[in-house]
Order: sequence, then C-alpha cells, then structure tokens
Amino acid sequence: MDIKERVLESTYKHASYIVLVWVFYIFQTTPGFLEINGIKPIFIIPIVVAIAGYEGEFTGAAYGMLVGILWDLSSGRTIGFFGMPLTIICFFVGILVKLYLRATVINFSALSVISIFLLTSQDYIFTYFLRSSSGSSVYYLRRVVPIILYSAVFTVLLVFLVKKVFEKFNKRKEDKF
Amino acid sequence: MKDFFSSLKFKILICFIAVLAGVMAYAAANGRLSAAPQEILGALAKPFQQLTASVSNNVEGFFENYVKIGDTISENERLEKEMAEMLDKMVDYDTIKAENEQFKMALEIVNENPSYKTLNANVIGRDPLEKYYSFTIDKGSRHGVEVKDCIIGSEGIIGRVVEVGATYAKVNTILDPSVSVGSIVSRTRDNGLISGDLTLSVDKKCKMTLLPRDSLAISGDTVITTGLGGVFPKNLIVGSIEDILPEPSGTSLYAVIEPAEDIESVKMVMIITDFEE
Repeated sequence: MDIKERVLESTYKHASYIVLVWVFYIFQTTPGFLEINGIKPIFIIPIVVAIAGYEGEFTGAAYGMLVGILWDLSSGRTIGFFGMPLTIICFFVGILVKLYLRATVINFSALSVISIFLLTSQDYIFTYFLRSSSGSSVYYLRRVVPIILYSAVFTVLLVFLVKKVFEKFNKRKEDKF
Repeated sequence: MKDFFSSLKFKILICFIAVLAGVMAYAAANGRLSAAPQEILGALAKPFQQLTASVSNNVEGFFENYVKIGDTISENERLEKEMAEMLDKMVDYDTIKAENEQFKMALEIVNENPSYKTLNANVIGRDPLEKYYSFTIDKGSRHGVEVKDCIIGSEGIIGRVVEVGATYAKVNTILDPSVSVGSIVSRTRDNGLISGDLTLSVDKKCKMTLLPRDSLAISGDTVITTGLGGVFPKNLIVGSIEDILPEPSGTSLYAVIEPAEDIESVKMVMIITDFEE
C-alpha cells in the first residue's frame, strides 16, 4: 500500500466520521425528533468519544475540539464552553484505551455515558446552579438526569456505528498488506 | 512518559487548548465572540435542519405513542371509533390545519393591527441543552428579522429574537429569566412583569411578578401584554394565571402563569418585525 493510497484511505475514513457527526448533529437539533416531554437525547458525545477511543488521544482531541465548538455554536453557549472539556475528555479517553481499557463497544459506551454526565453537569452548574437562588436541584433531577438517561439508551448504537466505520477502513488496510 | 509529554503532538494540543481558553475568556468578557462562525454554521446547517424538521413534523407523536404503549392500549377501543372517522380525512390534515390556523391568526392580527409587519417562520432547530426551550427559526436578517423582534404563536406570545443570521434567528422564550415582558391582568388591570423562573420552567410555566398586594386577580384570569418597553406590542395574550402566591419579601404578590402557547413543541411562529407603539 503506497503513501497515496494510505492518504486516500485516511481521507475517506475521516470524511465518514465527519458525515456521521454531521448527520447526528442535525438529528440532535431537529425539533421534536425522538423528543419525549421536552427531553431530547445527545448523540454527538458518544460518536466523538468512540472516535477518540479507536483513533487515539490526539485525533480524538481534535475531533473533541471541533465537535465541542460546533455544539457551543448550536446551543448558544460561549465558545469553548463544551469545546474545551470535550477536547480534554477525548484526550483522556484515548490515553485510557491505550493504557488500561480494551477497545470494546461496551467500554466506549460506558465512557460515553460518563462523558455525557460530566458535560451536562458542567452545563447545569455554570448555566443554572450558580445563577439561580433556588430550585436548581429540581431542574437537575427533572431535566438533566432524564437527558443523561435518555442519551444513554442510544450510546451503544452510536458507538457501534463508529466501530463499523473504523473496522471497514482498517480491515481494508490489513487486507492490502 | 517524559517522551510523551515532550512530543510535538502533545505541545500542539496544549497550544490549541490554550488558544481555546483565550478565545473563551475573550468571548465571556465581551459577550459573544463574533457572528461569523455562527453565521457559517447556521447557513450550513439550515437546509439539513429544514429537511429533518419537516420529516420530524410529519412523524410527530409516533415515538411518544410507542413509549406510552400501555396507555395507548387502554384507550384503543375509544380511539378505534375516532380513527375510522379520521382515516377518511387527508393524511396531512393536522399540518394543513395548523398552517391554516397560523395564517388565519396572522390575518386577524394584521387586520386588527394594520401597523404590524409580520412574517411566518418554521422552528428548525432545538438543541437538547437549549436554555429554557429556546429555538432556531428559518428566517433571518435577509427576511427583515432583527434582534428583539417579538415572536408569537397562534395562541399567544412565545419570546423574542436574541441573535440573527442571514437566514436564521435564535429565539429566547418567555420561560427564560432574561426575557421580561410588561403585562397586565386583563380583568383587574393589575400591572406586573412576566419573566422566567428556573423551577417553573421545568413545567413550562413562567411567573408574573410585582403584582400589588391588594390585587383581586384569581386563578384563570388572562394576562396580556402592556406594550411598555417597546419589544412586545400591547394586548397580546401571554397566558392564564394558575396560582397567586406572596413574594418572599412580602411586599407584593407573584402569579404562576401557564403560557397560552405550547412553547416546548411549537413548530410554526409569527415574527412581528415592526409595529406602532
């Protein structure tokens, strides 16, 4: 496999990741899509966490930063509000997989749910808890926790999709060797 | 490990994080950073959001019915009769009806208030973590929309525009504490101020503060806008009073307001771009 082919394969793979992120970003922001009583799932975190797990800490951090900034813009938050923590989370996911964890769908799904918990809780603390005199715990229990649980339902499927993309292109590489 | 931390990739990553932190600090100190990235993203996302929003509108309710299958089964016998009648109607009856109501309302409002300049818009974006059910609509500065324009639905006011791109605009709802609306109880003429509240927003309600202690307003009374402040025209319906309680300070009362419009699931809105005060 020459360098040109490798670059082409890598380009296709990353184009596939970007399409995956974009499609689920659109789904995530579509009014009424899979919405139950005002609660909608978060799709882009499991995708980016899985990419970090399969592709390593630096590629993962880059995706984390891009997706985080995309989310900052769509949710009306200050630039970097989700971008920075998601970069750091994806970096550590890459490190964890390299040093301690096996690259399995279950492990990435668990890491995704933890990441969703961390990011939504961060959002709750800085957007609502520190600005509200009362009632913020009610908001957390009745809105943030359902979002985390509802998002968790879809993580396995999303991680599986990333795994399929990763395997498709890595298998091609191995076959050509 | 030492090699890892001194690697070029790690240094580049740290540089990016430092730049991002700087941008974040700048944006936090100066409001939003710039409209440019938002404009580009909005322009890129809009066609896809319009497409998926349209598909989503057509299948609205399907998923919720599936989750609430237990209730659906218990109501099955009653619904069967209604279903037989409904099947005779067009498949997109609800959409046409909603559109029709929207246009009818627009016509009525424009006829009653010739000074209003209005635009119809579709809701095309709602993020799971949007603050207080805020949303994005498919009309922007190219269509004449400006920041602070008033947004209303077929039943009552919804919110105001807070950010405008060329082809989209972001709307903050009246459930948001940052949105204040001068209002009056229609029956008793008591003045107050509508604003959001974190706890009440969970139940899609807001509050009317600064009601006088001797107010005779009761549950069920309609609340309308006063027109003070210049953002919302007067005499638009806000909602109805659900409960009246004393403020913690004891100097005045506040009312829990059930907005007339279903803010959480509104799909079509009307923008009042100009009106005479």
